[in-house]
Amino acid sequence: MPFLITFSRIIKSTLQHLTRSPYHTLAAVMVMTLTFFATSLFVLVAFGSNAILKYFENKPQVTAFFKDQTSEDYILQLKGQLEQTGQATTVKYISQNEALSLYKKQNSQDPELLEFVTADILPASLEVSAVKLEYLSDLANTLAADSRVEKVIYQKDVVESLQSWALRIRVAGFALIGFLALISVLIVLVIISMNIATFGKEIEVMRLVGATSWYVRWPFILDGAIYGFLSATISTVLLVILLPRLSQYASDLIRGIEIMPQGPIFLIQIWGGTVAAAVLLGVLGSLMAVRKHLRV
Amino acid sequence: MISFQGITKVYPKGVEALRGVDLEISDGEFLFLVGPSGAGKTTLLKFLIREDLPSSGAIIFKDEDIVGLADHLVPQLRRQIGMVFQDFKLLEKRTVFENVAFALEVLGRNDNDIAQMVPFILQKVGLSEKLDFYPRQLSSGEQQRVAIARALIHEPEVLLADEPTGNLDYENSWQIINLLKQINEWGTTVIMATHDRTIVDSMKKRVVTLERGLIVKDE
Repeated sequence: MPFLITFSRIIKSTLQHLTRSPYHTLAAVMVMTLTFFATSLFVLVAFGSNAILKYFENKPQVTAFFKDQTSEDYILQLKGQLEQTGQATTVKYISQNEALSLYKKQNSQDPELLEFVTADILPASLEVSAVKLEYLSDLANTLAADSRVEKVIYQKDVVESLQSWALRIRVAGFALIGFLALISVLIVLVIISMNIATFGKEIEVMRLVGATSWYVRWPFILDGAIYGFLSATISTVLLVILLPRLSQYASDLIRGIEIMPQGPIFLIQIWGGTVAAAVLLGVLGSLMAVRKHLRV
Repeated sequence: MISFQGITKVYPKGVEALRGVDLEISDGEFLFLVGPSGAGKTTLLKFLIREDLPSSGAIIFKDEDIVGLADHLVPQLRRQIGMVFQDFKLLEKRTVFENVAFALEVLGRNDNDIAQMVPFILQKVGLSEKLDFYPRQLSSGEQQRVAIARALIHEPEVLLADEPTGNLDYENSWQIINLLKQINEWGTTVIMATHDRTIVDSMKKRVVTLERGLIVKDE
């Protein structure tokens, strides 16, 4: 099996590069880990902003809060009017008492927030779900025109604002990742070039005794691939350690929406994706170095 | 077997290293290439292993012009032509056995073959007792023998030696020359570049003298 023998010797040679130049390996892996850890975090942020956006997009709602002393009959009459427009799927009346119980439920972990809060200080409201996102403005205008309505929360504004923020986050994220990826490729290029110089005599002897050009090149290309694999794996391990804390922080920040992805499938996907990208970057840097410095 | 036909080599700025060299070398011949530094001896040897290319002319080896040889076929050419150098080119972190085995490893030979072939060739060059030594633990003459063993391990048809005694004392130089003579007697064509007149004169072999890129004597 000459192919297997050659393959095993190429692997052996690659491992020699990694162990004989440990600081080269360390430097390349650390820089690439930074890149792919930042990429993983960006994926989380993108996932989170998407989840928030979807939450609001799937719930086209207008919420109208009524002034104190507004009678329940008045609110229910308005509710009926809205239902007759055909633009609302549901119109839900939330009395002051119901608002209090909702508040208590949402803040059950935080008893300090429950102290001194009574039904009187929470307004009654109507939650109107629109058939389509486009109807939100009509429904909101109808409610805002009513003299007993104190305030209208109109989620179209929220969605637009979120979309705009999500876009900005993505553009900034891609720019940052692109910059870090470029640094990674350059670092791999420099380090593989140094490896080629370190193993110059071995390369010279290989050529003299009739080694094929790919036999000489492969270990250096695999160096880059291994730098990528190690860095993507380390960045995923860091993510595994940090994800529960980030999830806790996110759920404290925005309640009711599942912002952080959970479960092993997501982590396997992240690991697979970053390994593929990191190996690609590593091989790209190596190929550039081999092309520039290894004339066989 | 080897034929240099009208070989020229012109470096940038018009420096001429070789100016129309014609040379025929037969199978099994022992040939000295002599001449002062810069005469073109090493350049000719480098052409034979395709380390460099002539500016014009043809080099026929086994009925094929190796000047036009495709790059991917160069490794196969180098497996048929062994080469040793003045500075030995041994790998310092590998033992004598590993240095020679390295030449077989890169060609995909299996470990059993290597375990048999390496001690055999090291015994032929008189180093069977020093398989586990590192180059720094050997004398210069012994280091050159390791380099010769490495060049011979593929059983090449031609052995090129570029100033192989240049770094050796008188006694070690003669040991290496006698070894090359013995290799030639086994049937390998040996081409040796040197400027050591004493060795050349006492060997009674064919001597080609190069001066300023031209063959001025072939005797």
